[in-house]
Parts: sequence; structure tokens; C-alpha cells
Amino acid sequence: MAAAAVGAAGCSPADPLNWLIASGDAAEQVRQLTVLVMVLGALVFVAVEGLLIYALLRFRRPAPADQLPPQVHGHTRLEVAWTMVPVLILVVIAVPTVRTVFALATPPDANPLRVEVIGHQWWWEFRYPDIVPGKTITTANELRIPVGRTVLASVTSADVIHSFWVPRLTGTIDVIPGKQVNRVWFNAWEPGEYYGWCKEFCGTQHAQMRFRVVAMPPAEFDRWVQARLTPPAVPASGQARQGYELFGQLGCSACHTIDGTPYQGKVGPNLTNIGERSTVGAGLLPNDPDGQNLARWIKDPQALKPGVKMPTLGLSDAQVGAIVAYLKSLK
Amino acid sequence: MATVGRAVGVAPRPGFIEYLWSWVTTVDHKRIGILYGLTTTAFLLVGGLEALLIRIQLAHPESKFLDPNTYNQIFTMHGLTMIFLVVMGYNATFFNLVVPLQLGARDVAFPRLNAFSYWVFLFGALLLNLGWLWGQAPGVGWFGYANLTSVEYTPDLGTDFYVMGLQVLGISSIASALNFLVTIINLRAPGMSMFKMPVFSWMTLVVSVLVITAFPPFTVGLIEVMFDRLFGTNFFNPAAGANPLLWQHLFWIFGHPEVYILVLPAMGIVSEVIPVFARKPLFGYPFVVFSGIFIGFLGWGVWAHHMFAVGLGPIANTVFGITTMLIAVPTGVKIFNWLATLWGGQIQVKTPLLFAALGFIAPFIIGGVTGVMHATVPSDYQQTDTYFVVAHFHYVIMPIVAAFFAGIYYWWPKYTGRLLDEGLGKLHFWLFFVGTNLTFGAQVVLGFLGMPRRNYTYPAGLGWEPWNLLSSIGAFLIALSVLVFIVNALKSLRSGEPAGPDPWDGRTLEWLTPSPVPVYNFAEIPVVRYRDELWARKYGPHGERAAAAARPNPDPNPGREEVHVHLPRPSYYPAVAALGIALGFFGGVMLRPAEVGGLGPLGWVLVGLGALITLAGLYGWAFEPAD
Repeated sequence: MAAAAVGAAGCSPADPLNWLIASGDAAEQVRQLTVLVMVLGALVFVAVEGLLIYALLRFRRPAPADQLPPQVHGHTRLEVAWTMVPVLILVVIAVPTVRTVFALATPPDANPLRVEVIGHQWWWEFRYPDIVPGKTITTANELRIPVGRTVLASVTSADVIHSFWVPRLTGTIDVIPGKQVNRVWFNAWEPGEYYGWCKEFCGTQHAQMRFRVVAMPPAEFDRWVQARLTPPAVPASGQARQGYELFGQLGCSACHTIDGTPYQGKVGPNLTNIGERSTVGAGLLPNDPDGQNLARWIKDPQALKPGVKMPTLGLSDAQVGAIVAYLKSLK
Repeated sequence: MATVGRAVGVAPRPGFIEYLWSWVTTVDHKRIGILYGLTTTAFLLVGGLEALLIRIQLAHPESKFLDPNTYNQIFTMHGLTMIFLVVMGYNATFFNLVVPLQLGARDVAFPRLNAFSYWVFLFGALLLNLGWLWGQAPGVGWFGYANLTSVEYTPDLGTDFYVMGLQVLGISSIASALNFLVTIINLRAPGMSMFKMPVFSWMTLVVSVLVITAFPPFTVGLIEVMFDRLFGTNFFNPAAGANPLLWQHLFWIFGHPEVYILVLPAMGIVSEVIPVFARKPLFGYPFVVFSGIFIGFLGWGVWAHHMFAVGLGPIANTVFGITTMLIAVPTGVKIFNWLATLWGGQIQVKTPLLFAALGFIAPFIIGGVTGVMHATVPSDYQQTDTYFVVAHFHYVIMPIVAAFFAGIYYWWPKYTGRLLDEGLGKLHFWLFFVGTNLTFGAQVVLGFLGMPRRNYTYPAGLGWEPWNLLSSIGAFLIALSVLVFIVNALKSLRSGEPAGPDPWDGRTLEWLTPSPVPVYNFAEIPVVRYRDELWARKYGPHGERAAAAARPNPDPNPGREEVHVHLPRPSYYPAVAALGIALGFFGGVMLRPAEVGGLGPLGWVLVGLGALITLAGLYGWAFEPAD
């Protein structure tokens, strides 16, 4: 029942975390191994449950006072058989398991795209160190990668243990504060948005520490990198200009950085390209073109994501509107 | 009515207070077992209520039923309650009720230490739950991963109740394990060599060794967290150069043997119930025993399979993956031997057998198969921390609960003298069976669909909604089944069918005693010649007396009134010492500053008071006369 249900669900595009559908080499290696184990497991399940149910039905009978069933105490050859058969099945599983563990331990490309992943309570920081010599791009909650290229992520945490997981692309790697830097590689076969999710319990808002990996055609990715290397223009007039000024006056800049401005807060996500990101609040809400969700978020983050480190400042609708106009201009 | 006179000339009936006091001061393993059973069942209801709250919250996406912090406390306390209070509690219940009788002993080796273990368990359980009064129950998961447990990230008292409550419970577990270890080694009836000992007692022995060896590293970890929180040490502080993964190693080198601490007694119960209801001896007794020992031994070498994603590297992950796969072999041996025991028997489909065969073995196979899928390291990179894990370990723990129900229906008449109702028992079983598979079958699917665990909310549109709703419906069926059980238990106590000493045609020594068991167990200690001693006495060692229908129903205590057996006297000192320990550790919680609800340095007063009461209790205990 369960397997059939998963099969049926597997056809639906609506389950972006179904890890039995692979969209990259790393996830595909895991998927193939898992299917092998699932098939063997299903056979064992059917055989043993079948024996159990057969025995219960076949030998269910009255117990006459004067007649006992044969008082059998054991059978050594049977014991050997049902010890060795599982061992053989396990060998069939263990060999490809070991091979896959080692395959996943080393990136298949000697010159992968290097990114740094930093977990924060409850959002993600992504950095491309030295993507062109001497220049680093910093973004948040949305990792852009070129299709086909191997990406090697180095993951660390700024506070507690988190876990980096993009099921369509790669299995989990824990994100650990301190000296231990973990690495995981993956690639994407097709352009698209892939869901990422923090998997290690990390406190109040663990459930809503999500992100997206956006795979782009390589040329488009290169254009994006070039665009990111130039800070967005500071708006000169209008509502966006008002928002730019409020961003500093209201204290947003104490936590957030926007490249090319005096706003260099380091506590919260870097917002330099917030206008082009597909979500608001670390994968919480779609970043709609009108900025409605962004406005809801700025107005009352504590209502949308109780416990989030961003305070509800009690801004007026006009203030929120101006800040949204400014942030939406950041692309 | 008025004509009914008062009975005169007999001993005055003890009043209610005296009756209660007799339970506080009891050192009788059967009464202590009943205390454990009642306490544990109460916590089963608490942990079950927590499960229902979780399932109400998750029945629909974006639910506003619980706020995130409350949800995090509830899922944490659900895990802690079910593992440390319910499964460990039922283990202690059955150890106490059954093991001395199976061994042909009059009590455990250290009856007062046994009472002490129970009272520490009770007070530790209350301490663990006490945070609810502050609205600050533990909320860091039952695994309490550092460095989330540091005061910086969880300044509330919840983590302190976690650290202190679990230390207290560890004292109880270790004291109890030492007691049963010594009991099993020293108090077996004459003639009962180790390989004539019933399998349940064997599994108790293995579990006692595991408890004694597994709890110390956990306690070390807890003490380190306590020092970090109270005295500013840096065991788990990455800013001071620590690697918080140290906690995970300390926790799981306890935590994985703990899984076998949970499951081996259940396997012992199944190994007792199946032969009786198949009317055959256990198939492959030495293989069942040795596979249990082997599982306990391998339990030491698999802890890092909880840590495949932490970055231990491919070599460590490979080693721990393979050792974990190996566990499937002795587990399979047990299952095949149970099947072979059923094979060719005269199977009596009574409630204990239903719970043992369909309630334990059938879903446990799913737990085993999904366990091998987790041992497949790369698959685990995807499955870890999804509902696939939740489904997997509930397909291990729900069979354990089923085995406890098998044990309850099986041994209940021995201690109450009355049978539980078969009709209600079967209703209980089928509700439990359907509910379990609905709840956790749906979670297997959710695991494949990538739903992560420990999430208080989830968005719509990820294909998770129908499965979550099904899972929640199943949880209510399980709750209903437990209600049916409680009705059954109350009905049996009021008007259950009298059981007689041996209602199931049993095989082991406990069925030699009258039901309910007299305080001294055996008027005369039985001499054992065969593995299934009682069966051999009834049917002959090879069943040869069956044809003659020679079934003496041996009453070992003819003329019960004349029996004079020397038994230890009741004592309240163990309960006093236990109270002091819990109070002292509560003082440890209260050392936290007043802003978060503690008393600050005033907490030392409570610590000192607890220490004094403990010392007073131990002093009184030590100088009590031996008899």
C-alpha cells in the first residue's frame, strides 16, 4: 500500500521534497541504491509476514487434553540456514552501499563551484568566495547555481547545529558550529527551483528554516554573477528613496547589509538582491511581484514566524510601503 | 441490615491510611511491580495525550492549535515520557512481577534497594514533568543536542528539568539493574542452570548489563551540560573551541544500547507467550538466548548510525553501516525461531498470542526492514530526520508496547487472580493493530515524500495533507484501544472470571504458585530439572504423560495457613532517601537565576536539604535490623 502510494505520488510535481525523484547525480546515486534495498526489503517483508500468517491460520486448532503437538526443541541446520540467508542478502546491500558512500564523499569534478553555507537560527547565508578573484558574493535563503556544474558546499553554523538538505539534489549534511567544516557536493540536471529544508532541530522556528536552490542555465548564471558584483543603485527619488532612508532611520540596517550602502549589519540576512529572491522569511512566503508578502513580513514578522529574531517594529503602512518599494528595487 | 452484626474476635481490619502506608513501605517485589505498573500506565496516558496533541496539530497544514514552543515541549516530553517512563517503566514492572517467580525465588536479592529504585523512578518522573508548572517543560528533543542546550540558546528552565530529571531516573535504572543482575545470578532455584532459565529472565539479565554500562556515559554527558549551564564551563561551547558533537557521541553510546534495553524484554515476553499458546517448547532456545546476547553486544558498536550526516567521513560511516546491518541477523534468528515455534503447534488464538504474534512480530518485521534501509548509509542521508525515521522507530516501539499488552493479558491473572475479558481483549487488540498501522504506515509514506520531523507546522501543497490526516485518525484509534484496555482492567478487578493458578497451561515456575501469588511466593522452593519445569511436571519431560491426560494441577502450598516464611520487614527509609535525591536535584534546577523562574543561589538550600534527607534515609536504612 505504502509503496504504491509513493509511486503514485511520485508522478505529481507537487511534492518537491520527494527524495525518490532525483534531479542531480548525487541524489540519483542514492535513489538507485534505495530502490535496490526497497525491493529486497519488500521481498523479505512479504516472505516473513506470509510465513507468519500462514502458520497462524494453518496451526490454529483446538488443544485436546490428551494430545500434544510434537514437542520439537530445535533444528540446527534450519538455524544455520536462517542465519546465512540474511547474511547473503545483507552482503548484496552492503557492497553497493560502501561504493556509494565513497562515491558521495568526493566531488566528481576537480574544479567545482565552491560555495559557503552558514546556518543561522532560522535562515541561511550563502557565500560565493572568490567567485571572481578577490570578490565574494553574499546572499541569503536562495542559492543560485549553474545547471550541470558540480557545486561543493562547505557548511558551518553561526549558532547551533542545523542540517542542510536539498532532497532532489543531495542528502543531508549537518551544519555544525565551531571548527568542523562539513562538505557536500551536488549538481542539478535541469533549470528549476529545488526545495531545501533545515533538518536538525534547532529551536523555536526549526520548522520554518527553509531555502531554495535555483539552478540556472550557465550563461544566465554568469550574467547573474556579473550583476551581483555591482551593487544596486541607490534610488534617487520617490517612494523607493524614502524607503532607503527609512531603512537606516528605523534601525533595519543594524542587522541587515545592503551592498553599496552604509547599511552593513551582520546579524540578519544580506538583502542586496532581495527583490529577485523567490521567497520571503527563509522560504516562508512567496516573494510576489507586488510585494504584498514582503509587506506582511516587515509589518509583523512575529505573527508569521513566532520567535523569529526580527522584531515587530510597529511600522505604519506608509513606512512599510516605502521600505517594500526600496527592497523590491534591489535586483 | 441492622441485623448484620459486627464481626468480633478477628484481627481488626486495617484502615485506609494503614493500607496506603503498607504500599509506601512495601519491599515485596510483587507490590513494587504493581506500583511500577500503575505509575507507568499513568504516564502512558500522559505520553499518549501528548501524542494526540501532536497529531491534532499536524492533522492539517498551517495549524494554529499549538504555538511553536509549546509544540516543541510536547514532542520532547512525548519522547522522554514514552522512553524513560513508559517503556523503561513497564520493563521494571515485568522484571519485578515475573523474574523472581520464574527463578523460583522468594524476592529479589535486595528488596529495600528495589523499593528505593521505584521511589527514585517515581520522583524522577515527576521532576522531569515538573517544568510544565512553569510552562517550561524540556523543549530540546529527547536527544537534547548540544549546543542548543546551552543557556545562551535555551535560557528557560526546561533544559534544567531535562538534565536533572534524567540524572535522577538514571539512578533508579542503575540501582534496579544491579538488583536484577545479582538476583538472576544468585537466586535461581536449585537445579536451574543458566540454560534452564526462562528466556524472559535471560533478557532481563542482558538488559541489566546494558543498563549498568550504558547509563554512565549518558550521565557524564548530563553532568557536563549541567556544569555548562550552572557553572559556566565550556564542554559544549564552540566559541571556546569545543565540538558539540561530543554530546552526540555520549548520548548515542547510551542511546543505542537503550534501544535494545527497550526491545529485549519485549522479545523475552514474546518468547514466553508464543510457546504457551502454541503448546510447544520454544524452538531453538539456545539460539534465541544467544541472539539476544549478541544483539546486546552489537548494540555497543552501532551508535554512530544516528550520526551518519554529522560528517564523520566515509570510513566511519561504512563501519557503522555494516555493524548496523549485522543487527538484522540475530533479530532475524529470533523471528524465525518464533515462527518455527508456532509451526506445527496447537495455536490457541487468545489475546496474549494476538498481541505477541500480530502485535509484536508482524509490525516488528517492518521496523527491521526499515532499519536495514537506514543502515544503508547513503539512503539514510535522505531519510534521516524525516518521518521515515519516525515511522521506523515507532514500528519498533509500538511492537514493544504490544508485547507489554501481551504480557499484561498473560500475567494479569497471576497477580489479580482474575482473567481479563477475551472479547474486550480482542477489541483492544484490533483497534491497536489497525490504529498503529494507520498512524505509522502513513508516516512511512510521509517519509518518502520528504516531510521532516520535529516541525510544528508545514505548508500546504507538498502532498502531505492526506497522509497526515490519516496518521492523526490512526492515533485516535490507538487511544481508543487503550481506553478499551482500561475498561477491561477495571471490569476484571470487579467481576473478572477467577483464573486459578495456571489458566493458560503454562510452562514456567510462576504458574506453580497460587493466583494471586502469596507474599512468600513459594512455600517450598521448587527443585528444577527441566527448562520448562512446570510443563515437565504436568506432561512429563517429553510430553509422554499427555495421552493419559495426567494433568495434575499442582498446588504447591497445601495448608497455606501454616506456611511460615522469613521475609524482610517493610521500611520507609528507601522512600525517604529517594525523596531527598529528587529534592536535591530539584534544587539544582532552582539554582538558575530568578529571571527565568529559579531561585539563584538560594537553590543551594534545597540542594542541601535534599542531601540531608537522603543521608538521613540512608542512615536509617543502613541501621535497620536485617529482618
